[in-house]
Amino acid sequence: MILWLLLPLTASAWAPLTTCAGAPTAWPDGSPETRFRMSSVFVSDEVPAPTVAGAVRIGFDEWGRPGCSNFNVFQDADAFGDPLDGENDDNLIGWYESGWPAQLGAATLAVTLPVWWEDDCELFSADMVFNGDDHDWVLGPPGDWYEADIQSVATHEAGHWVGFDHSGFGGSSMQSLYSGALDERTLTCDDTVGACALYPSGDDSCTDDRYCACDQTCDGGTCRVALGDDDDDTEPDPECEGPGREYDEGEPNDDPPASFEISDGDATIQGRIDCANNGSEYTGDHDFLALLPVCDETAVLTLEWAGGADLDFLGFRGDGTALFENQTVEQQGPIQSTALLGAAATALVVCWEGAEVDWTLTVDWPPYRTISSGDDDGDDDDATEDERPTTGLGEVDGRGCRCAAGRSGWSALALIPLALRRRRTG
Amino acid sequence: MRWLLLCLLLAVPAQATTALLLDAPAQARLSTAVVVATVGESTVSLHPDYKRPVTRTRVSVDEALFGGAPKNLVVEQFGGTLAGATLAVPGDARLVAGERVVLFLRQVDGGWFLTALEQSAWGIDGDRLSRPSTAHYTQRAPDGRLVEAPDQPSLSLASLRLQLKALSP
Repeated sequence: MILWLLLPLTASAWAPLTTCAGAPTAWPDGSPETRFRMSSVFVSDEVPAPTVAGAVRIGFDEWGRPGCSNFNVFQDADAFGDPLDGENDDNLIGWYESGWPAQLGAATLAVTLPVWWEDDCELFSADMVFNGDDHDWVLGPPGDWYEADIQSVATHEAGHWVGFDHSGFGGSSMQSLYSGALDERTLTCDDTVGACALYPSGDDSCTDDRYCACDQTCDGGTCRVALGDDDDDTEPDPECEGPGREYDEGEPNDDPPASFEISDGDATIQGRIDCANNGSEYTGDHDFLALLPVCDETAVLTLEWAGGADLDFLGFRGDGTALFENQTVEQQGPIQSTALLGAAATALVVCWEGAEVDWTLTVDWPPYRTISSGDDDGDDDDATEDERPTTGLGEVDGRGCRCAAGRSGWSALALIPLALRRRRTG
Repeated sequence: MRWLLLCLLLAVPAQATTALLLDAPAQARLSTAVVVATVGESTVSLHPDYKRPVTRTRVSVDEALFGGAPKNLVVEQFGGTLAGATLAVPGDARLVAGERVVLFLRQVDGGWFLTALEQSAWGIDGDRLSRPSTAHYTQRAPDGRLVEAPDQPSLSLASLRLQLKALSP
């Protein structure tokens, strides 16, 4: 219901506002109440009413795009009234250009106020109000920090109207904190799963992958279960039945030239990446690495490359929360991060700008190797031998990673070009 | 109120230029008071102006960490159940009777409100504070890129007390 000018990057999935004896909050199927009206009085000072109404309308429609969802809402005639007036039953949507209520918090962008029957969670009323008191509204990419895109926020608020709580799924329109861009305009596969759970149609038609479940792709207008990871093989598995398919991902490091070595419990992974950005997001390769250490130790992760490109390096825990990040402007390696790698983690190598470049990632367990003392650029990523992290587990045994599995250090390590569900941070 | 948001920008970590990460000092600057309090009973009634359910929760202030607040006050939030119907504001805090909390509060027209909904109610476990979902916000780097904000370090009540003391005039 609340959309902030911030962005969470956790990984929990869609959720209804609440449940009543197992039933999620949802509008009754085919109810005449599934309509909204724009307020003719509480209007935006900045954007013409027809433009606002169109953007809001598109935001609602997004939730009906998955073929598996039969959610439908129609826009009724504009109504004279205050969206925050609980006595109207018009499902009013409007702008507060002054007097934003203190109950709704400072810096909140917009609020939807769904009301449901306590016994069965059936929604019967929902108004929506946008904060024009503290924010400027635009239709398109916000040009400044205090601006917000109407369609993005409307899509998010429509999700609450539909019956959803906030979601931590990466890129979801229902993340509680606004990206500051246009990301919320479109559903993710997880939003689709939610919409189809609340309003199932039994249909599996689609116009895009995001309107299918997360393990499916939109193939010829129908959602189908994806075949494998789909991007590592140049030839179909001979065990497969049916017509052959060609795979041409164009990734120079997937088949399988990305390599790793294990030595004294350490690992070295090599890859190649191209660089691009659109001003706010990485648009080139995203090289994901699934790290599956058996150790519970602090590792030093060093990314090296020859130069001429601005590489960045991030790590995430299994739950999607950040493990480390290095997104400073670095035209040449190495850059280092330390992390307690006690469970499955994901590393991400991306390149903001520059020439296509080979990179090498070293994961160094105690006892730490002697490597470069850093890039001497004055930042805090220049670990030296003496500064290496202590393990907190007593002395190391001098044979690599000190852990239950002995010196092997890694039970498995593979380069996995995961489907990019995470919102790309730029 | 844009000046108020600008205060937030100035309060965020040094790398940020346009982030709205509501760390403790930033949120305190938006607040009338920051208090350690014990949550009391709640009542739900119809707001006289908005004609919507509002939940009013009694709060016993144990200590003012920033600003000033009376010993006993009532925090008002939209939401609650009346006549079998429930209104809820996802993203707002749930104040549970008996819990000891840190609250960031604004006083407006004589009433007391959470400054920034769920971000304004922190749990207290011994001396440690638990903040809602503050781990992974983005902030805009000097070059304009949205980047993940650093993890918010675990904060103790004692260190929060010191942080906020430094803000006090």
